[in-house]
Amino acid sequence: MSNEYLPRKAVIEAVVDDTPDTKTFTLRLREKDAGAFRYKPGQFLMLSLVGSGEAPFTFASSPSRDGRFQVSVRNVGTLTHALHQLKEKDIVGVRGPYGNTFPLDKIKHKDILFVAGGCGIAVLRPLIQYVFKNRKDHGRVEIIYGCRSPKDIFYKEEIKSWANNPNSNVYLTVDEPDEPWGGACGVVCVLLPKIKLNPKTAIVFLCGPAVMIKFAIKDILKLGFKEQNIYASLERYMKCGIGKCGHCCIKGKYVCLDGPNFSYAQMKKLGIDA
Amino acid sequence: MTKRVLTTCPYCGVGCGFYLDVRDERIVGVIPAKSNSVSKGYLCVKGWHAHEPVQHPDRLKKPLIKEDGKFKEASWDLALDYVASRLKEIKEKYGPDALAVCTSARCTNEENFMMMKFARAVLGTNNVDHCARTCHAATVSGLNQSFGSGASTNSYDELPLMDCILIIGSNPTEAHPIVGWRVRTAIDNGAKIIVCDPRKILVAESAHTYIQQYPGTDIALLNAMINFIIQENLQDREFIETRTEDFQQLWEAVKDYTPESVKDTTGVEPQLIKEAAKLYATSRRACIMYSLGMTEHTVGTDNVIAMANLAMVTGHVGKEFSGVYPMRGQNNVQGACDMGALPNVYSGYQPVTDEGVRKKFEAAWGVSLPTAKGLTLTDMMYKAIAGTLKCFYIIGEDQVRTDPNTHWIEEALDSLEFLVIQEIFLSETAKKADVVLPGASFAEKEGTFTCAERRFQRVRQAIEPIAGKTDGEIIAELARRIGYDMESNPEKVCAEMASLTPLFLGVSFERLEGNGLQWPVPEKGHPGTPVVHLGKFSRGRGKFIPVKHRPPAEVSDKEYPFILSTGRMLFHYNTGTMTTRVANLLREYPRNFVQINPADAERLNIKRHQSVKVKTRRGELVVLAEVTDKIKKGVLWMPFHFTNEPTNVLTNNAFDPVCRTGEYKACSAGIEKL
Amino acid sequence: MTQKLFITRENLKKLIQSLKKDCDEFIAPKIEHLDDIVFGDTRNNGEELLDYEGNSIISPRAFLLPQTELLFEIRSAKNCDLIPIEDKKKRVFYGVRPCDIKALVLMRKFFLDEFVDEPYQQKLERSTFIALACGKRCLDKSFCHIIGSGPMAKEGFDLQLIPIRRGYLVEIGSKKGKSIINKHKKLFSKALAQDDREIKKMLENFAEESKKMDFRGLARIMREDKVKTAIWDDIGLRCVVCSGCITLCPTCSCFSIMDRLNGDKGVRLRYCDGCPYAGFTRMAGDNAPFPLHKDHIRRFFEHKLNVDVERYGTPSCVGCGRCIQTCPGNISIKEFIERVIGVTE
Repeated sequence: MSNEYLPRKAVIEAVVDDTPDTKTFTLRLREKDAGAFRYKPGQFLMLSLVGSGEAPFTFASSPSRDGRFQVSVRNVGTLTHALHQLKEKDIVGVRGPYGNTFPLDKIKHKDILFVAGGCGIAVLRPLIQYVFKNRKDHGRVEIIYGCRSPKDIFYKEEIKSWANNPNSNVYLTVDEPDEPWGGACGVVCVLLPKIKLNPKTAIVFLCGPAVMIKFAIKDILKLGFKEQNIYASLERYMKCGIGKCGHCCIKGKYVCLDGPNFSYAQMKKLGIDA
Repeated sequence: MTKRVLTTCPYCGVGCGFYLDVRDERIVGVIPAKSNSVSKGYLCVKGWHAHEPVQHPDRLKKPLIKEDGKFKEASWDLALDYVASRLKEIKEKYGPDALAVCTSARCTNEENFMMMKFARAVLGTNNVDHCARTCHAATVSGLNQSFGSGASTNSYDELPLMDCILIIGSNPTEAHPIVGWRVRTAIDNGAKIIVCDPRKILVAESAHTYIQQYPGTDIALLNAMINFIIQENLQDREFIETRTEDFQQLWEAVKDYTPESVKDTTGVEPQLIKEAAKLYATSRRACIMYSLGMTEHTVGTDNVIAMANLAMVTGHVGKEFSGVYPMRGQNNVQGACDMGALPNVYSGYQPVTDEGVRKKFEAAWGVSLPTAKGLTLTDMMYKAIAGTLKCFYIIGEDQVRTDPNTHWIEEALDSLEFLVIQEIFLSETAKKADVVLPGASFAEKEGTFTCAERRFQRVRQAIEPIAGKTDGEIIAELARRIGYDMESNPEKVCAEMASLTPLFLGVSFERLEGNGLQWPVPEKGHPGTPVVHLGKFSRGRGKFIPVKHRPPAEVSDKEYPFILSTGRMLFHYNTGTMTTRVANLLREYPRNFVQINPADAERLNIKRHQSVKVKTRRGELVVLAEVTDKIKKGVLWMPFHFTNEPTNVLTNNAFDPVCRTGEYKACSAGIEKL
Repeated sequence: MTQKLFITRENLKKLIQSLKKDCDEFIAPKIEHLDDIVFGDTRNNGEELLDYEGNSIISPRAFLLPQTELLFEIRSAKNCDLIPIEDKKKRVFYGVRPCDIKALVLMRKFFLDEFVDEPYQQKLERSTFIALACGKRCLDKSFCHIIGSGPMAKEGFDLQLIPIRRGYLVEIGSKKGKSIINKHKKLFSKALAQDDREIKKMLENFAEESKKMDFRGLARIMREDKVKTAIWDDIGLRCVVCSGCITLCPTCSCFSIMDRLNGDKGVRLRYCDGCPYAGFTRMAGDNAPFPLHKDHIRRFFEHKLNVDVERYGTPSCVGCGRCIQTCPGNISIKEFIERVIGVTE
């Protein structure tokens, strides 16, 4: 019988500065059966820095055969600040994978719209990577990504490669350009009218600040997208990841068990309305 | 092995009882004690977590001696020998009055008795004081003059049955939650509450009359109420005639304080003042509840006297279901005062200048005792800077974070030749010490605390002292090394104290096994005294003492256009040494903040949670802004619980001339967006 | 009526002596200060109350999910070396009231559902529960009869004792209970017809005094957000976040986890946490899904009376009254139920 609260050891193999306050860590389980940490896009893990705390982070990369996985961490609190001091070869604890996955079967052969705000791109990245790895199995892909400023954009190089995929487009927007910026300004909603997808059948994935999700879904519905095709990844304070500690419970549903990925229809039942 | 240890809460002055749930030498939690007459099974969030700081990893476990600016761990013998020798040295070189002892209002009565005995019998000085100086010294000096006794006149359990409670300068819901529960019950029973506070505190939301006066204008407000009551013939003539004196002097003083005349000073509409005065005067059962909002002013003593005047004019004192309730702050600040940890009295408020009293103590202690009054804590700081105070032995008190004008306090402590701190965590004050002695928490000792309704209650040991000694044992060992043998067994110390103190003669551990005893307990077997001044006041007749409004030492001006007031919140306690080490409490409020009215915030372009700089003539501090309509326009308010963002760098070291309490509640300040 | 057994007071004492030999802790109600009744370990001191009025201040939750509980020893924080700390004590819980038994049934479902909470399961499987039905109305502001969790437990016990004039009737509730009977056959005898009649009378008395609560109706009203806003506002005004309700409630299960280090070593422990705190759901960056204070304490009511009705088919408020007796804001979940079922938007 395994104690679900006991973390497994993971080693930091690489640290990359994405933005002034975010780092992406590449991790690998220390155990010999490293491949056993199998997860699907959309799931998350509980990351421990023993002594500082434990918090949920989504897998920020799609599953790979060599057992490596990535986590993007923004420095906003005590734990994340401590994580930012870590270097290669340091050890952290991981538990999981927890949560539900993106509905991979539902998006087959469909057009897909990704709408991300700030760190929300880290949550959608595994699915974006998955879709581009299996490009022929999916329709048109449009990605809208909004940040505070150009220096806050994650995965800058990788994003360029996304736009190079056939039948795909990436739109970036920032709230305040702090360097010469030729792109759009404003919230992600300003870019929605530009997309060229079939709203009747396209599937939408959103992740970002709660306020962004709310207003984006409002506009997306106005464009004719269907409620049951809209999915958002919700963020909540979590301490266990397994539906026991109660922090992430919304009206009886647990974001760690029934989520973090919810359809808009499910969100409405939870009282989260556009 | 599991055991439940019934003890008294170490936080505020209400004095709730609960069981510490101990399993295999670890305190795992708290169980409320329904049988305890103070708390009756209720607790506030701090009490529910009283166990968490006790076995925290940060607890000091070994004595520390400073060498070359750094602390080194030392054995008990080494540290105690060193401290004792230095104390002896300084006493011999400069005389006993170059030393001072600050006792702890968090420690037990027995330990406080031992500490003041240590100062007087061992060191030979009356320079002993404690943190009542920073909070309720005005109560002691004020009510002493008006009634003859400076403690709460009535008991907690009368509160739910009051018809009217006048709450002024007190925030019971947050600062004294289980008394706040009784206020809530009174409201549920139909009582009408009057709240006077520059902030719309929680209880004001349910008040019948809410008065939002400027900080430091309470005398004007109270005098206006008395004026209206007398003008409208609502005073209690019989009470005034039979139980008081000097009413004419009172009238002379308040006759010009019409409610209309104080409108500009107080910022309060006359109609509200009249409403409140009438309600209070005409209610059958009415009382006044106050706390540091009244005492922490340069006119603190006068504030207290004004309240006593109001109570006497309306006959709402000296009987059941009436009275004046000074809400004492700390778990044992009432006790520390009672035990004579004050420069001018021995235990039971027996004056040091009274030859008969002194001879009694000299006979009991076998040593001659100093004859002149000692220094207050405030004046110890002045003397330290002046160079005449050389040595300070501070137990369980964090002056660098609690006393006004932090820089001035630091200067004072840095001027000393020798500083000894006895503490349970390495506080900011402890960091300045030459020697740190690790003390014991409330869960590691036997003894008694006295709460705000004058009730002695037992404190019981749940685990062995983490550093190996109780605070009482440390004092006794120091005394022994200086050549004076002292009893440290708490039960025996209590017996010694009772034998020398007429006010507490009937107190003993055995008699406290039930639900404690409220003093006076003037004879063995006496059941205690829930209501004092019944029939006659302690001084005979209550004395009306005329007081006039005087503005705070600093008023707002062009450079510093706001009035800054400071205070407490529910989730944290004083300097936060304990509560910031409790996960749930720290998470609620991890950082300091300043409350500012929305109109002021808009004018200065300050938004919620923005970083702002608050400055006064003493210093400046960067904190987050909390924009709220609960604070009066022109007033700022900050708590002082966050050691890394210390509010007292801003407050004013201006003191009441009589009781020497600082004006934490009003100074001029400026605020700007960063 | 299932075949019941009977035991005299004297034999019950003998049974207890025997059970004590076979366990590490015998948790029973005992008197602490003055008239406080608190569940405590009476294995070595014989202070257990065979029978008592009212309920213990704490419920068995205080042993199965203590206010603070060590989960792991941290041998090295840097290397993430954690060793599980196991609580392998065998406990017999004696004198557990039906409301607390119902709470245990719900908590078993909660902690062993989906992912198994091992620390809880470890303790649960080593525990034996001997219930003590309530012979008369509990005095402590409880309302089990209204909410359907008393005066007798329906399931969740190993043995249930029902006090009658001549001793105690005994109901078997599990295999463990049966094996206790088998091991001590001599102490038990068959119940008599008059015993059954006595119980029937007692239950009739209870039924007269109780009005059965339409808990599904209440849940529906809450689910449709039809409770008057004034009621939530009043509760929000009264609640001072003392955390007494979530610490004493036998069906509260929320917790947080933290590490306490001394250098590189220490412990990882879990401790009671819950909805009244603003920080319970607030995230870093001041991100608060429930910004208003009144919505925090509202969550407590929603969970007990609405959400859990969907999950378990019965409210998880068991009517023990502990929260009512410890709330410094004088909030009463019983009064809330009465107000809502009579008064809606």
